[in-house]
Amino acid sequence: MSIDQTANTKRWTLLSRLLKRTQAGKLQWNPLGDSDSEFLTAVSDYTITIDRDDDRAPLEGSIRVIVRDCSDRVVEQFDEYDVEPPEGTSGEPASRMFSSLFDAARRQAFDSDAAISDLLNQLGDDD
Amino acid sequence: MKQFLTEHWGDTASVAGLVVSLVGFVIAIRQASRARTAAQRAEIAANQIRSTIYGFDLLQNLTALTQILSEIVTLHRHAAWQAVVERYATARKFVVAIQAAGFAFSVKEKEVVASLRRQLAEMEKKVERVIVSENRPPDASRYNETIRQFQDDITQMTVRIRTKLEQRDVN
Repeated sequence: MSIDQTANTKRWTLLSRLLKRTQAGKLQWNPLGDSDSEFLTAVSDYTITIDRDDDRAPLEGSIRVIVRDCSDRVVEQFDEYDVEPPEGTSGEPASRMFSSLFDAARRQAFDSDAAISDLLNQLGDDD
Repeated sequence: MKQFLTEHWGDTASVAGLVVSLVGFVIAIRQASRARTAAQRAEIAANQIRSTIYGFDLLQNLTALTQILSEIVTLHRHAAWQAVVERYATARKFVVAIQAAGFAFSVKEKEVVASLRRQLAEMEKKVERVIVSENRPPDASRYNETIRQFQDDITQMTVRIRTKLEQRDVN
């Protein structure tokens, strides 16, 4: 199945920027409802959700990104099978990019780094 | 002088006519300009009144939303799923009205409102599934954690907008 190159490049760029901003702590992700596998962030009037479901149909990726506009209408939706690394990029597979973004969003939403730091403090030094 | 006027009567009359025309033209321009300034002032005043009314509408909607979010927290606590579904829908209506208010929200405020709309839609969908198909109910405490965060954000928004409106009234 061929992928529209313009759409592909934009999706890839969107993923890269989301990942960078999340890793830099500039994007706030929160669990959607009480979910442990679906996270929400907002950029101005737009909301972006990322969710992982390993029970999806075979040709659907397990991690999916959905972009909604200010009317809560889905304006873009894609998964690992809808995106390919554009020519000239490092060649990192799309699935790794999705996975990295999902993990970064989850860690941010659950404040995992603070929890691990706290745990390490509680555990004390090895010596 | 008399001889000059007699000899150049036509020219003098033309010059005088021109002067009278110019003076009339200047007066007409000033009057038109005053009328336009008055019209502009009236328009600015009308816009300010309109904007103040919209501002107070917005404040009312924000206050109502805060109230409904409190009710939602209580309903979650009592696992009153049937009742809370309607409150989600009402809350979303206020969120839509707030978004449509055309106020100069900050980027952060826009993000808060958009996120709240999405969260409420998601909660409504899940709770409806619980009612219809007797699915396992959602985790009420986590729902409330999310709602409380929005309560704080909406309160901050309300304070900022109220202050801004009051400052505009003073000015």
